[in-house]
Amino acid sequence: MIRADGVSAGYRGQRVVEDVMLHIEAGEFTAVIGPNASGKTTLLKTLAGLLKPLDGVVYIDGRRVPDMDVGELARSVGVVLTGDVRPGLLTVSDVVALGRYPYSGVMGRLKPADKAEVMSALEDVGIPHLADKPYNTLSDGQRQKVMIARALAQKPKALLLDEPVTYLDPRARVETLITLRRICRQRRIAVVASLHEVELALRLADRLLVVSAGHVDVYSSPEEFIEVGGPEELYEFKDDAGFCGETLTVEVRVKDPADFKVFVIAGAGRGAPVYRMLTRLNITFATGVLHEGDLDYVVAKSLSGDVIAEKAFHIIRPEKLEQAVVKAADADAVIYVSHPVGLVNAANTVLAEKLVVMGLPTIEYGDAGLKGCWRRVGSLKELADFLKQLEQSTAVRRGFVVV
Amino acid sequence: MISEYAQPIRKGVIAAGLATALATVFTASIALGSQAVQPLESLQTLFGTGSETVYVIVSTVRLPRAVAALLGGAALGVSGAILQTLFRNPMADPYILGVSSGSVLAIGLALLAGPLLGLASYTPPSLYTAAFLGALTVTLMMMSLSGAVRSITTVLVVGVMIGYLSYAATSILMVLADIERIRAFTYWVLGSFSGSRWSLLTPAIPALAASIIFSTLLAKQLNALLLGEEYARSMGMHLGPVRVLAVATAAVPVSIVTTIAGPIGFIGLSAPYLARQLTQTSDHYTIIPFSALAGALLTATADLTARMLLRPAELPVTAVTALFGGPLVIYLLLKGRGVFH
Amino acid sequence: MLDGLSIQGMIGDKTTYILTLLIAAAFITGLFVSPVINPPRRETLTFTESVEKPATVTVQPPPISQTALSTVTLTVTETRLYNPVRGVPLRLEVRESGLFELSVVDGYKVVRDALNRTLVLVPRGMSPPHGIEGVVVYVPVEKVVLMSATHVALLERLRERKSDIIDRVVGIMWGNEYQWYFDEVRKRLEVGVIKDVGPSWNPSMEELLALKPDLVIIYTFPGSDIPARLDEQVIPYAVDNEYLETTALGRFEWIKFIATFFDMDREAYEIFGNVERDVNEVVNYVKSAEQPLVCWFMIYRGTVYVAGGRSFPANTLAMLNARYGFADTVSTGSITTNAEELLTRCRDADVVVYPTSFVSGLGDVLNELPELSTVRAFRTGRVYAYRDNIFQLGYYDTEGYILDLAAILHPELYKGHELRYFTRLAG
Repeated sequence: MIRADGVSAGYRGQRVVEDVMLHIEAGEFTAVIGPNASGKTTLLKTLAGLLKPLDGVVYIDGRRVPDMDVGELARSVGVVLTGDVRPGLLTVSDVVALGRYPYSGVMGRLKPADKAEVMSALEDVGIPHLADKPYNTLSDGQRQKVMIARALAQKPKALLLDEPVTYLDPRARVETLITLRRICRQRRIAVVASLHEVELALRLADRLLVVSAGHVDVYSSPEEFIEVGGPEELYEFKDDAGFCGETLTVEVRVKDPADFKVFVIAGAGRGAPVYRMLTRLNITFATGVLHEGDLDYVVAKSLSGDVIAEKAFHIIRPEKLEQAVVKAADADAVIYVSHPVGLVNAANTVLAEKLVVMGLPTIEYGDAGLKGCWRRVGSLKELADFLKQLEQSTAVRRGFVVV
Repeated sequence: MISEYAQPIRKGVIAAGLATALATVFTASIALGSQAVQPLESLQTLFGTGSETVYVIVSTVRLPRAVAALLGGAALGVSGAILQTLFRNPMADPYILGVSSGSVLAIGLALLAGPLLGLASYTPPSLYTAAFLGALTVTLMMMSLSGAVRSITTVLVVGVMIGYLSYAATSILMVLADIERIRAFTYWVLGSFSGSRWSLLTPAIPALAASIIFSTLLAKQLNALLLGEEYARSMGMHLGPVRVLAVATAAVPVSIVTTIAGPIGFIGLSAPYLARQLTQTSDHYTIIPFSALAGALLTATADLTARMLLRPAELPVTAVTALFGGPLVIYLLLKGRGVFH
Repeated sequence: MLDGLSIQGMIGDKTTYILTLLIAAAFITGLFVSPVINPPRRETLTFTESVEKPATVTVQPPPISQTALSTVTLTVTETRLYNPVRGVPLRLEVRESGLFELSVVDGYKVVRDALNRTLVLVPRGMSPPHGIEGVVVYVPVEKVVLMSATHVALLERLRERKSDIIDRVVGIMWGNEYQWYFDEVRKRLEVGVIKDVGPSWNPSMEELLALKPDLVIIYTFPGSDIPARLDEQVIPYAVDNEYLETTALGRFEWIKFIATFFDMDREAYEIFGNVERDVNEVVNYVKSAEQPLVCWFMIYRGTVYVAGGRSFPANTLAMLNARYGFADTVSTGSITTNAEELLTRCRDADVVVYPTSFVSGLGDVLNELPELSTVRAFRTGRVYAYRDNIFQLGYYDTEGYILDLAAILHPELYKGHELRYFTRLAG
């Protein structure tokens, strides 16, 4: 539907992106991501025919854009741009009806067919009930939908949107993107949207275009992008954060760790909240023994990396247990997170008891009933408070703080 | 929520109201004037009865003036509506294009620099020609500029600059000229419909009417421009030609009005506001005709007041338009919902 | 970013194209149609009033071929002037002014006014002559509207010989802009016997039309549209621009211009002759006196306006045997100059005339330019300003005006003279 053949885009004298080759099919939702000022907007406007390419040709539905007159282009491509739109006192249906511009005659009179298109556009974005309301009275999310509806009323073959959800609240953001994808499928049009919300893009888009440093990389699926380490490159993390490929999320790491370490025993996903809390409190942790693929394993690995792991669905081997003991001995405290115990991880209970016997201060989070534990906490908040106290007293003990 | 057919009814009522008010003011303009002439008799002469003298007064003094104020006001109102949308600026009015400044400068040059350039004496017809040519030159300049620049704001800035240039140039000329010419120049610049007569009006009427009608043809493009120039282009509008056409359609009637009556301020600014607030829409199919009505009404009323209040002396019509137009617009803005742009 | 100016694709519809052309055509047509449907109206208006025929009824001389020679001679000599202006030659003498002319053609008075317009004065009841191009004015004028107070002054002077001539004034373009020094006029304006038709710069056409005057006497300046407005209404007017004259007698001679419309030619000539004689008497009297150096200037908002070397003040000063500080300049009006020039030329001025009535003492003048205190005239107290009545009474009484000036210039010759139109600035 949209094809770019060796397109270089920019303004006179300045090339923003070079040598772009891409192909987007009808019914495909493409997300364009990349750092600010990398040229996403320039690329979109060039694909939409609003900017002339400095090199190369853009094709819409097989037709060369330079061959199309303005009216034909308007019937092929609809756009939603950034910037405040202030159409005075026009109502929602007035604004959407403007999209019929390339179809209406000199006087701009709307025929029944035009009105039907307007209604259909409003329904597709889910706001037919707002038709007679003045545009000025709508919320940001609603306004964005109106602009999308307006573009749809042009009955384009391709819909290009520049940062359509950047300024929307979280709910509107998700809703709008879902709407776009639905429209994309239902109307069999190509939808290209530039986004900052990488995590949503990875979930919703069929294709990805990554714009940075003057070139555009095309990925035929989000998975392809993740596989080649795209997110990491995109985010340019240093050691304070990382990208978790399994959960498709960014995880923040502990930087400037405090001189306080804990060892966490968990599994089956119960440990994940604890790991996150510890990271937030700047407390380094090691954890084990987890099984590869366990949610706790995935999260812990993203957060700190210090995981003692056993192969998935395998019974924990003694050497792993030993490693855990060694690791734990180094810690200032042990947290035993209550988790389901089964055949493959029964060893963890043994580990816990061993550590208690070794004299390590052990905190139980939950109701596992661990014997000999120092302290039992029932909520994360309690845990956090207790850890803080512990941290303080350890610091005293080590002579760091004079009381 | 406004239902499907409430809008047309509302618009119909307002249109009828404005038209009635306009008809009343127009009739009053014909009926009222010098104390020596009875209002009733003035109206009668239009139907063939009444004295010859009164008929002459009505048909050659009052009628052209009333028509000039009405048509001129309508043209200014429409012009303002177009320019406010084109420049995306609620403070735009027809004089922002610098058209009247060009006219004033031309008159200044003709009157004040005339002797320096060897022109001995010149009659009003040549001065009218100078006024019109001055306005037209600026119009053409603005037209070509608006087709060539990237940002339409550049055109606005140039218009304002022309205004300042004209002011500077005429100030210099005034220092060098003698008292009589300065006096004559000041009268030209004051802005008044008192010089209206058929010989001036008859060439102007078709052009003014045509501009007003043509403006409605631009409604579709102007509506698209409400979303901004980029969106308008994406919807299939040829930006360059439309800009040029809009500037022309706005500037030509202003040139004509300035030639006949001098600069008449405020109408172009306030008539579109009034139209918008009354009809509660920004759709140009409605706004343009209503701006014409509002502009005609405001100007006709102002002119009548200007000449009746302190008769036989006259107030400058711009003073009157600003005096009661200003508070009216402010009131409507504060009362009305939503900011204009 | 902007596509080229493609007129074809413009709005994208042929209908618009056609409409555009139609509208352009409308505009052009309007330009051409206008003169056709709005032809100059010459014959619709006739201000006919019932009048008595003049006492001496004369008849158009019959064509020469139809009468005997002797009869023709007799008839021609007797009827040559239909309403004889007694004792005045045929080309009515206009000595000092170059801006108007009075003549008699085929027995009709013909006037050339300040705008070079020809007016043919036709007695009431008679028809306009063939072959003479000009604006027809029926005389004697019964109802006249005057534009300037100076026109009124001349008419007031004519009252010396015919006191009810003032009855003929039905309107003045006054607009309450200034005070009147002619009591009768002021009273009549107050009562409404003379109508105030609005200020001279914007008179009310309506009021003018309602008065149905036989004649309007106006003055013009470049850019004035009063003539055009009057042309449109086909109201006869005559242009009296006496303010453009550069000599006192030239200015006063316009009394003949005004008088001829009222058939008071002889009276005007006599009055003018008297004034001329009085003025010449003064001129002769001061001819051999010492020549004072005079400066004639005004300072307004920091700008120095000085009478030009060929202006009315300069000429009058020369006539009265005075040296003018800026005599070498060529302007017939006023010129702007700077303080330095002024002080250099006028430092030794014996007399300074400050031509405005809006100063009450030397202090007002010195406020504008304190260095003037070094000028001799300021030190000796010979600085004179206008009185407010100078424009009306000083013109009405031109000989008195000249006398005042002579007394200012040569006080030793006019001891005890009390100034009527000037005032000495004190303080």
